[in-house]
Amino acid sequence: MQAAPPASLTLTHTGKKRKKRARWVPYLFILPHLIFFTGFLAYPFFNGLYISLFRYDYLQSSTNVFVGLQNYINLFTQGTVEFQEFWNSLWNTIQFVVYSVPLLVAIPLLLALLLNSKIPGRNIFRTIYFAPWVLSVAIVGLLWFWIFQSEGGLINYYLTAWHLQPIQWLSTQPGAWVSIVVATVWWTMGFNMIIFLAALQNIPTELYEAAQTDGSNRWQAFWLVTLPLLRPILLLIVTISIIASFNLFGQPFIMTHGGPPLASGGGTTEPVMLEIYNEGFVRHFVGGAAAMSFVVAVIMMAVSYANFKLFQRRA
Amino acid sequence: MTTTVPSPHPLKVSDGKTRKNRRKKFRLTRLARLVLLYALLVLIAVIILLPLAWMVSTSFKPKSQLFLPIIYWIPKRFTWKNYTDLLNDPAIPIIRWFVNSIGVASVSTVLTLLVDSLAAYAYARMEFAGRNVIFGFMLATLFLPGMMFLIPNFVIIANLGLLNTYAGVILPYLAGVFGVFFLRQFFESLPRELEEAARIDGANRFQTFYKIALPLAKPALATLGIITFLASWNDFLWPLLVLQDSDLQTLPLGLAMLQGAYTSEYGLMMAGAVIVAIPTLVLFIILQRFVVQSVANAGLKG
Amino acid sequence: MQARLKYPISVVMLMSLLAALLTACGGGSNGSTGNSTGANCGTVSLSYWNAFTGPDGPYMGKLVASFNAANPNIHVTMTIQADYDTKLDTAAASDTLPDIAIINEDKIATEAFRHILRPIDGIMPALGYTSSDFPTPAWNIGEVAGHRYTVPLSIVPMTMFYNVDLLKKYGIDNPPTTAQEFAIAAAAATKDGNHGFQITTGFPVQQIFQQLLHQFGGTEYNSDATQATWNSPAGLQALQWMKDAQAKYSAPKLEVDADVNSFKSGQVGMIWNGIWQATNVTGDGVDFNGMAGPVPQIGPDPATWAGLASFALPAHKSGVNQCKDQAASSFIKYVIDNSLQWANAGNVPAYNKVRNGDGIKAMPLQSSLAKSVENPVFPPAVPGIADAFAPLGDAISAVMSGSATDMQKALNDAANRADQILAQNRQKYGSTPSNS
Repeated sequence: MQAAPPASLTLTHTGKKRKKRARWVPYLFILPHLIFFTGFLAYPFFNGLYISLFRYDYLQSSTNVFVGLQNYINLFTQGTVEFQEFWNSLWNTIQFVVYSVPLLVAIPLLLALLLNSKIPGRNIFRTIYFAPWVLSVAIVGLLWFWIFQSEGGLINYYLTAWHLQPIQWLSTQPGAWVSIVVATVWWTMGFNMIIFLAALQNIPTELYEAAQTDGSNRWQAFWLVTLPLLRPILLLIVTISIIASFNLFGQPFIMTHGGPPLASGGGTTEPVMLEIYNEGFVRHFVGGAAAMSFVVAVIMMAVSYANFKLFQRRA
Repeated sequence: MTTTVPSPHPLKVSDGKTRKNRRKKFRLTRLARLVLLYALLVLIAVIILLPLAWMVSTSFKPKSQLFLPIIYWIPKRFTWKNYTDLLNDPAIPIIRWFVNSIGVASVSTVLTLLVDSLAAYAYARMEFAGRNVIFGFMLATLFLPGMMFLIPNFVIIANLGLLNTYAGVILPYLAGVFGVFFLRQFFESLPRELEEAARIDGANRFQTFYKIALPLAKPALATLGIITFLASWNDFLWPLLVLQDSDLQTLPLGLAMLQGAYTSEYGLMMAGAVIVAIPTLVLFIILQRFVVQSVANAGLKG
Repeated sequence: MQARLKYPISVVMLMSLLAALLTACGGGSNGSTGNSTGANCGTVSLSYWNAFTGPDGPYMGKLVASFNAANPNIHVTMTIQADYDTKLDTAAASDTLPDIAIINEDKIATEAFRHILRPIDGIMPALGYTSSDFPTPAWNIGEVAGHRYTVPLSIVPMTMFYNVDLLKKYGIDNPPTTAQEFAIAAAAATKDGNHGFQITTGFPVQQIFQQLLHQFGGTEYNSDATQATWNSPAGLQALQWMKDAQAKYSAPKLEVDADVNSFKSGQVGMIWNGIWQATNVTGDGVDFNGMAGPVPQIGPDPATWAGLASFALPAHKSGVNQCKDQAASSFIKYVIDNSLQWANAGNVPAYNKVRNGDGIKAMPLQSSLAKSVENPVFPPAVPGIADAFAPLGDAISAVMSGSATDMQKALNDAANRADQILAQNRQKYGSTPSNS
């Protein structure tokens, strides 16, 4: 880095001292966070792994029994109650990821593009588009549950008024998914939009002008200039949206209660997180819930990794 | 036979006038585009605001007016009752809950910013053994469902004797990785020259961090601050597990009290929602300048 | 440089101080341990938990206040909890359970086995109640593994809500009480875009099914709850009746609450739902004359699905405190003896003396339902029984929404899954409640 200090006693002394101090200073920096991380994330992670090998109820510890991989085996054995419920709910969550993530990327990007111009009052629009994000999931769920009511809900009211066929949004498919996706997009698109907006404003205007003098129109400018520069942001947004969508819980819990129901049991909008919640908090089979969590985590990581590779190949 | 001498076109008297015509056309298209843009923005804003307007409208309706054959945006029978009930009911100490939520969210946010900025700076700017391994492991935990940490964390907090305390609620929040990741990206994007200059001047690591990097990070800290504040403000399940006394409840827990075991009083709940949403919206409006600015400077290059 | 460092550190210290203050303000104790010798108890503090969120809470609060006023040596602090079951769990894990708790009917055995509740045989003499003081099923469900765990407080039955104006318009002057009268009334009001009767594809269709199942002579489980038996001919009959009623009078594929909401708009003749909807769909809750009464008896046997709130004593690691138990028994007795006040919240008192007494006559809703709660349908007192109902709920919902067309198969499959769950629960809970 720097040239070796002149061989004077004082300077060498200072140099050695600084190097020694330097070695453990970084650890001081990361220590506070690391303590909390180890205590409340890392330790529970390994603890959860350990628990998943038991039939476990933290209140009835005398009945906790080591079952080895049985919790995992149950998930993969056809005919058990867990098998059908787990994979059904996982399929529901994956469906939601597929439906929601493209919208959660495209719509915020579109809005960010619209807001990227220096027009007066754009701060007001930006605030309005972001506003739903400050609400909690309970409010959002309740509000949209009410709007999508088949009898007396806002949407069916206007459909009937305009002589269109009202739809049973919450108790049929695809209405149920539509209602959940619409509520989710309304609620969370502001966050992605803000990130896109900032990234767009990071792109120097000279590039746009250069493209335009080259003769390309706005659409080409977007495709050839903007989009490639946005790639890292897109990857970030897509990854965040995938993780968030996998964690879907509140909206179906409040709006559709997991319905509309399947003939073989379970619901068509029951997310896997609700299944884990039921298994752990309601049925008190905490070991089984932990096993489910790990299987979901592995799948989430696989999906994110595949997504990451997809972006890399496009380069 | 036509003459070959070109006669000046009556309209094309001089070059200046032609340019003026083209400029006029150009301006018109620009104006039209602007109008179209505004129309689109307003339309989208209206669509987004409609549910919020519905929420506010409902909060001013008495019970009997909630499900009529005809929908009234302006309540047929306007009432303040939902708000007065909420604010005057001794069993619903909404002011106390409000203060509790502010306290918990503020402390969480300040501590998170403190702890995360220190760690993020180290991961961004310092070389030390195990840096990439530790950081990589942290990133991996982002993929774990949040649900699986609730019970183990509850057991830890119970064993620490921190149940029914705010410390018990706040401490697990500080383990979060998103903040560290976000700030690390930001610190990495800072030009190194300023920090190098400080080092040459004789500043140690902490002074460099504190006097150079941190002030530059204000926008990123503001953004992370808003995100952390909102996450804590709206958190329901974790405070529910930790807090047992009704005096200690935060707003989301309190709002859940408005929902009966089997029924929902929509008017009351919407009034509660409005009361909860207003301060967060105000906070965002005040701090929103920082949000966009900081994300821009976060140098989100991947 | 040093000066500038000071300011932010002081901010940090301020924040930490704030955190410490908030910590200190929290962590309230659950009351003194009191004198456990029983001779001179002094002032006893009791903590009392229930899940009476929403508009019910204040009525119980009034009773607590009047008890405290009448008993200067005892102070009861009531805490209403959301997500009650989880709350009890976490409190048990940290040994911070209250002194008195309300328990719902489907959780009594579960919480007893998990050592959240302890037997209350000890305070029964002080309470003085016997089996003849309450409807038999309400009394029986409080006995788990040979010990008494609960005393019944209030019953919330399935109720019929009807639109007096609408029914009168179509010539029905009195609410129906039999299956035939119901058919006539429902058919009469299903005209001009109105529905005589609305039924959803979600809650409370499972409960309606249970009620009709019992009325047709069936039960959900066999006598020792090792097998689900709702797929009997009685079950098929019950489900068929529901499906027919839906086809004839109701809009199809209604989601949860759609029955209540459409009723509120004034275009529905009758709905069946829990009594807790009373303030929502009668009186001030609606723009027309909405009334409540007992559900017509469809099958030959009288039966009404109901929920039950009972008093129980949670377990503590420190063991039994005689002073607290004494105080608790006098509080419980006070509330049950005065459960007429509690009934104002929209429930029916379980205590026979109150329910059949004079005071009830001033409460038309409760007095009209007094008879129907004499034959309530409660789940068996078996741990984890609530989990075994989940497949039934799924099956009924699937049939009512049309996604399952073979009713017998849906009931059979649900019974199979419930049997599996029952077996898993037996493995988990064992045959006697745990002691730790």
